[in-house]
Amino acid sequence: MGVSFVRTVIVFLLLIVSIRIMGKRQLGELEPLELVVAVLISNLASQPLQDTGTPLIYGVVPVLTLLACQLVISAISVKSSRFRRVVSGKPSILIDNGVIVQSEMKKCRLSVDELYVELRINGITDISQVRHAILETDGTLSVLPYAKFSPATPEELGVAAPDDGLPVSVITEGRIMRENMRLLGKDEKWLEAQLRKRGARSAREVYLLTVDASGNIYYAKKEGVS
Amino acid sequence: MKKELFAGLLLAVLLALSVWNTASIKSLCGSIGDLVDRSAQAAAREDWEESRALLDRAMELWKSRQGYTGIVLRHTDIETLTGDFYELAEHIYTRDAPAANAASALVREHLASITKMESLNWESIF
Repeated sequence: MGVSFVRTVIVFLLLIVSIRIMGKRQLGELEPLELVVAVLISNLASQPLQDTGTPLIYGVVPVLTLLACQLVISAISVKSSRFRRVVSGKPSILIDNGVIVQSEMKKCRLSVDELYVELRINGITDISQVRHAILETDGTLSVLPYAKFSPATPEELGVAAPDDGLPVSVITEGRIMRENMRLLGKDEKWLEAQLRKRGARSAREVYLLTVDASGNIYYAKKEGVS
Repeated sequence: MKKELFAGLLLAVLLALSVWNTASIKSLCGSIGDLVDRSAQAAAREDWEESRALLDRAMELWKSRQGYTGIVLRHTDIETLTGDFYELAEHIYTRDAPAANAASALVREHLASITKMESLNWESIF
């Protein structure tokens, strides 16, 4: 048990260091800490399941150790930016004011082709449109185009854009969500009227009915209901 | 903050349990090894009654802790040691002193191996 505990801590720290050295491009949208825990937990948990001669504690102790280490390291990371930089690294500016920062590209071991792939994923085909491109600590690329290439907002266009808020489900697969109705300030009478208006005899005939803050209703009848 | 406190506490508990487990296994194997040693010495003197009594005590102690050892030790280690005990018992019951001596050495060797594996040292960790 003690050996499992110490081994887990050593392997955990070793993997964090290795993944930090490997660089951000290996991460795939996970922070180094999250990636290490995800990789280790799946393997550790399966070992006692496959071999019944191995006590369950040989899987439980390392998993609990990892969980605790992850929580402790996350907590320290939140408190100390220096520690966070050590564990997660810092974002890399790959394009600064439209200029590719070649030294940073080399440091991140990223080729121009790979940068283009990431830009295309972000909807950009012309590198000259990009003011800043930042490789985040989880390996994703944030792209900030020049203002003249950014999509115009309703505010810039001087158009009023109604904010409909988040649609709330009132009926889901035939079930009435009474708590949601209460939040919307609607009652059964209102619901009955809405159903009648749409030709439904009861909530059971409805697949989905949502209402947003502006009162817009989305209605979908169950398939096969006449 | 509660989560972080829980994590710190969990790490401390796991560490404490690990240290306790190491000491507990060492103590258990030490006690059993001591009884086996004394049983082997009695067998060498051909004091078979004493040898049997000491071995029975050692086996009882081993079996009485199987609820615990079953959780913390690999089942193959438990089975091997239990088998070694029965082999030693066979030689003591048939009053075969040289074979009993060899079998008791095997039991002690397995006990030492279990203690070593559960101890926190460079060898067991790496």
